[in-house]
Amino acid sequence: MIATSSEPLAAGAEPMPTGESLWAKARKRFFRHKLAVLGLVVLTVLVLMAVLAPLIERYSPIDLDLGSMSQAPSAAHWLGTDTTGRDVWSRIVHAGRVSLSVGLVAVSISTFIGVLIGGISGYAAGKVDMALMRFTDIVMAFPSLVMIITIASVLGPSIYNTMLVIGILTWPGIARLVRGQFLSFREQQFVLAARSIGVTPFQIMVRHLFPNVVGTVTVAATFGMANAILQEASLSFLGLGVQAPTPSWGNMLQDAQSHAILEGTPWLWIAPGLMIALAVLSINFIGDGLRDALDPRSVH
Amino acid sequence: MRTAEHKDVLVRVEDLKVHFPILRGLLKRQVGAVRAVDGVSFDLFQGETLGLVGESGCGKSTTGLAMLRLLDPTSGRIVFGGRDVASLDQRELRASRKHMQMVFQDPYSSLNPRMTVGSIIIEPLNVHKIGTPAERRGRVQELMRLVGLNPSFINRYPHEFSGGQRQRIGLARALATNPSLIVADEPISALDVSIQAQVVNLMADLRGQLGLTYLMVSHDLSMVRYISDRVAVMYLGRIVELGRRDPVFDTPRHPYTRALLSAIPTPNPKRERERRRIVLQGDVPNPANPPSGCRFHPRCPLATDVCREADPALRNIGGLPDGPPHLVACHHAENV
Repeated sequence: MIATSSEPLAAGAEPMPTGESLWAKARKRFFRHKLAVLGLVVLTVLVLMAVLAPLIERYSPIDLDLGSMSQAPSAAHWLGTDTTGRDVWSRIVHAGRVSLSVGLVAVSISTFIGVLIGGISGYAAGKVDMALMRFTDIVMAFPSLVMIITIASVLGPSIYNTMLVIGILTWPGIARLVRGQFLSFREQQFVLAARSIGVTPFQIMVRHLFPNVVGTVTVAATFGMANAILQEASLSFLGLGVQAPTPSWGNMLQDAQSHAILEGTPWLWIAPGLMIALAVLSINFIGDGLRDALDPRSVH
Repeated sequence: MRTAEHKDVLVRVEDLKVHFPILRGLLKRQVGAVRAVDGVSFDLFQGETLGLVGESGCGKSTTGLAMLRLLDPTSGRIVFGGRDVASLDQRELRASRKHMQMVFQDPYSSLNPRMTVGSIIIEPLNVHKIGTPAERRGRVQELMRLVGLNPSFINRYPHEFSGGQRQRIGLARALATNPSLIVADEPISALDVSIQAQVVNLMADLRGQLGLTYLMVSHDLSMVRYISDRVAVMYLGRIVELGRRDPVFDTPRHPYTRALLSAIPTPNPKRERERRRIVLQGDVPNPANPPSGCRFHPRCPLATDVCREADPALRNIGGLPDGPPHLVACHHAENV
């Protein structure tokens, strides 16, 4: 405030704080970010499609119909049919359920582990930090595809194992992020103040440090979710992820990798490929918007 | 030497030492220690304000932090309420924190930006389970009024307030559990000059109203003179002079205190022209390797051979017979 001769003692006469919470300001900034809003709209449509899949499917996504194999898109089959006569539109909307939930669950797992390990590491510092971060480095440096193939072949390929595998391999990024933030916040005087009040270390982590990294973690999680959807796609593409006949965008692509299909029936790979691209892109835009919105230093 | 027991002693600090290890090399071997606080003893009387002054790096803030065990002392005792704070275990320490609180220097980083004013002030009450939830909310409003904040701001966030208002929030948080001791670490040095006086006056008022005892850590000599009953001057991890405010300011007995006080500008231009600054030679020695004998001797205009060899103890010089003593750690105090 400007240095006047005296600040009135009665606080009521002092300049009124505006009373807008940090979250209200962040929301305002987010909705000014056009691409992020577009991403939010697209993602909402994708999620609605997945949730309403049983209502908007036109055929069973699983049952074969050998009478109508490899048909081009038409009024009867909007996106055509695959080599066993299944309706591609119905499979796409059902696959959305699988792909989006794999993304969500995998990111939840990796965020949980990442925040836990990063938080402990950053708050404890010293030797504990050293040990946890070297462990994180090991997980990070491990060739993930080899690891995934091994785990998938040991546990057997299934949608739940896919979620789990992606989750336990992608946490190091979040752990490092949270650790860095905790290391810087723990030096702030409000942490010392909390100790001087008698707050326990656990409560300091949960109540004082964690709320300060929620923004960063949210952004990292959005990017992580886009990544997890891609990971699921590549796993399924390799035949290690979600197993037939359950459709996922990834294994639909895998089914479409023969030369004949690539050339002759492009609707089999264009549709799932487009869905993956749309989902990943829109989530990334949302993440971008959140990053700008949650940064208190951003001015616009 | 101990001060006369003319009042109740609230805290007795005995030979407090805080050393920070210096670690070198791959194996992190300890090659030395920074002796930030190196043998400090003083009593804090019930209801008084003790000003702790000295230049940057002399260990005054470290002393304050160690008194509240926000830093673990290397050795020494801090007797508060009949118990040695330095030897409490974590659980007892947390419980004892409601009796001793701290006001911080930086009103920006000392409040959690993600917590509302209400949740910041109510936290000590929640931690120590004082009163019912409804009583706690009432107490928060009462505290806000006490420090001159409008209670309707209870749901606002710290970034919406000015530095002075934020310092009031910090003060309300410190007062929430009705502590008897407040350690204030440079409470006004980060504030605008126009607001400093208000915060100091508020703290002085609160001391009278609530019967608080302050340890006022500061390099602001004018503020310390204004608010303190007694003053302790620190140099390089030691107290060099400790006595009632006016004798220390008017007739300082330690050469370092004289040099320090000569740096205070006077508002009266005529007297300011007459003011003679005592400019010390050299820099403050490295606290990892303090000089032999009297720590001040390399910079002291009065230093003699005895200063280089013998470490002077605090002794009473010129204290009134019925009052607290005037302690000075100087071989030549009589000649200053």
